[in-house]
Amino acid sequence: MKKIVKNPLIILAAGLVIVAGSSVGATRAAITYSNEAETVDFSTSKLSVDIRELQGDEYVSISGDNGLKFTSIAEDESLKLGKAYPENVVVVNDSTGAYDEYVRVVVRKAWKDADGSKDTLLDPDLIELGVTSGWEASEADDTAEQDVYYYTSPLAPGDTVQFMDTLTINGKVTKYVKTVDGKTAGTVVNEYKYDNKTFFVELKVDAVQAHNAEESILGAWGVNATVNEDGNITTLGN
Amino acid sequence: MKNKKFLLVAAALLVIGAASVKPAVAYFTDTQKANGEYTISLGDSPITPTEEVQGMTKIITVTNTGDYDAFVRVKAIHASNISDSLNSEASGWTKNGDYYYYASSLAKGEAASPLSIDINVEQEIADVDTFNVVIIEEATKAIYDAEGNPSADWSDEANKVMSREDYDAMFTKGSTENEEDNN
Repeated sequence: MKKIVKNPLIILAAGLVIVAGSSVGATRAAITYSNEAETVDFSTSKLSVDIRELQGDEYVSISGDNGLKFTSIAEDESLKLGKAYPENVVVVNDSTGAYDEYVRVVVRKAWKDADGSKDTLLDPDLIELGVTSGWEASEADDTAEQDVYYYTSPLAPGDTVQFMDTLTINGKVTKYVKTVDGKTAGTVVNEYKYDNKTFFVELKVDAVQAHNAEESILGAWGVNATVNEDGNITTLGN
Repeated sequence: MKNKKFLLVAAALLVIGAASVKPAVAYFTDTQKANGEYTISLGDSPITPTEEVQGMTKIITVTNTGDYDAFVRVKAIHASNISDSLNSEASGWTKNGDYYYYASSLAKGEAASPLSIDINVEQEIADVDTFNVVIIEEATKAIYDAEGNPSADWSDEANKVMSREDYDAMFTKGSTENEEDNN
């Protein structure tokens, strides 16, 4: 008897029998059903602002290079000096979340030569932007080329506020004129300094969260503002 | 002994952890930039008059041969014994003082309606039986108000040209008088 049990072949056979017996039970499984796990994404909404110009009948977002088209001037046969052309630019709070924001617009104006380089001897004040009421100009940031306008109340998401409605080139540009000798002897021709010059306007809109108003305006813009209970900016310091 | 080492390492880790925990704080902001430009052109338009004589009436047509809008006026120059007056058939022209003014501005290429001037000899002078009447015409730029309505300013003040020295001084690099306020 011992000899039989000790025989390796018998042990192998016994082992196989045990293994086969255990696997038969293991392959049985209950029928289960489950959905693929659903993932949930958490993200914070973005605070966002947009600037748009009325071109034709609709407001078009103009961020980026050469977005401002000055459509009403382009439609006129020639630019009439002194005429207040309608130029409607609005600022929109297009945040996806419930973010109120304070906005300001930094305006830079300049004259450029035919080759595109800035001509600093020409006066940018002759490019007149008609900024609508409700925007406060900051004297501290004003330079000959730059103006900063702050909107005193916060913009709710989806709200639009008009920034400017006219653009005028002052007729005083015609005063800068001298005579040069004409082609035929004894004649003189007028030469205008502003002839063939290009006026350039840049609008940069900044938005900052309305929550914690005074700290956020100071932290983001470096401006000491006081805000009253309605959320309106009452003073702008430095 | 071993304990102390562990404690040291643990303390070091704690300090590093505490120092790095402080988060970066920023306020939510956004910004957009937009720009645009446009070229202006300024200039004077030469105007070309043509004359025709019918009897004692001169008929003058004025055409704007330049690129810019202009208002025009015409003057007749003659000896003092002769006078000129506006013929009733001329429409759009009015006489004011010595000049005949055209009511509206002439656009590029546009011609004014014909101006008829009657020449009258007030007083005959002995031995003089021919005379000349010279026509001069002038043009000035159209000035626009906020609504875009054109008007003309014929005064010397509005048509003053800067002297070449002043102009060159103002528009040379390094000049300090390039701030506005041109008187």
